[in-house]
Amino acid sequence: MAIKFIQQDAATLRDAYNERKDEYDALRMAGKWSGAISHAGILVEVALKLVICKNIGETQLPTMFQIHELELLRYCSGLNNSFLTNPTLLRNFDIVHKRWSIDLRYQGVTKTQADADLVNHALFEPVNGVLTFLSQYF
Amino acid sequence: MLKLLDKIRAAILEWVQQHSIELALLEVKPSGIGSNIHIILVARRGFENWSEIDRDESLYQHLRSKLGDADMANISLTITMPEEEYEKYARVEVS
Repeated sequence: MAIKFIQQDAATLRDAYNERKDEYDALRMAGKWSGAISHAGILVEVALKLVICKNIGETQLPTMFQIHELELLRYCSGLNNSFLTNPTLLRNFDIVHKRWSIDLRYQGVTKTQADADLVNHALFEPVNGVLTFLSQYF
Repeated sequence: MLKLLDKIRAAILEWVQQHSIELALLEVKPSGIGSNIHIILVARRGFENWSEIDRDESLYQHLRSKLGDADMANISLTITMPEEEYEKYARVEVS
């Protein structure tokens, strides 16, 4: 049985991560809070896919990973237990997870600065931020 | 799992009562991923002057005090919303 792979390899995903991160910062600087949260979720999604690539030792993911479900990607990341045993990290993940869906792309202004600041803290808190944590693994 | 779902539901109902919230819907269900659990709480009344961030934090702290870290680790999504928002709400579930 032939395995089909996602077109983007790990190097491309890493480029995408860096580009989305720059866009995320620019959106926050511009006060575009809904856009910033839309990008925040994408950053977590791409980071989790990079972690999975690293953990399975492959540069391309099978198409079964062509998904946007953060909860499922976390479960497959090999780091799920680290989340489950760290209440602060888990809480930070929940803060992002509940405020983001890929459908934000199709919505207008639905998020406030308070939402965006909360999500930003959940991502980049120095010890238990979701991206602070994940970035150690890709 | 059923016992934990009941325990979570009971803790939420206690919080609902403490804050005089009139429930329209309470779902406490397995997410289908591992042993994860999703909570969706829809209020007919009680959220009018309470921001989403503040009420979520209140519910989170309440559940943590009642359940402890091990049980809390199973809760992977908690959503609270007023009834008028619920009709607009849609989320793709992984089956």
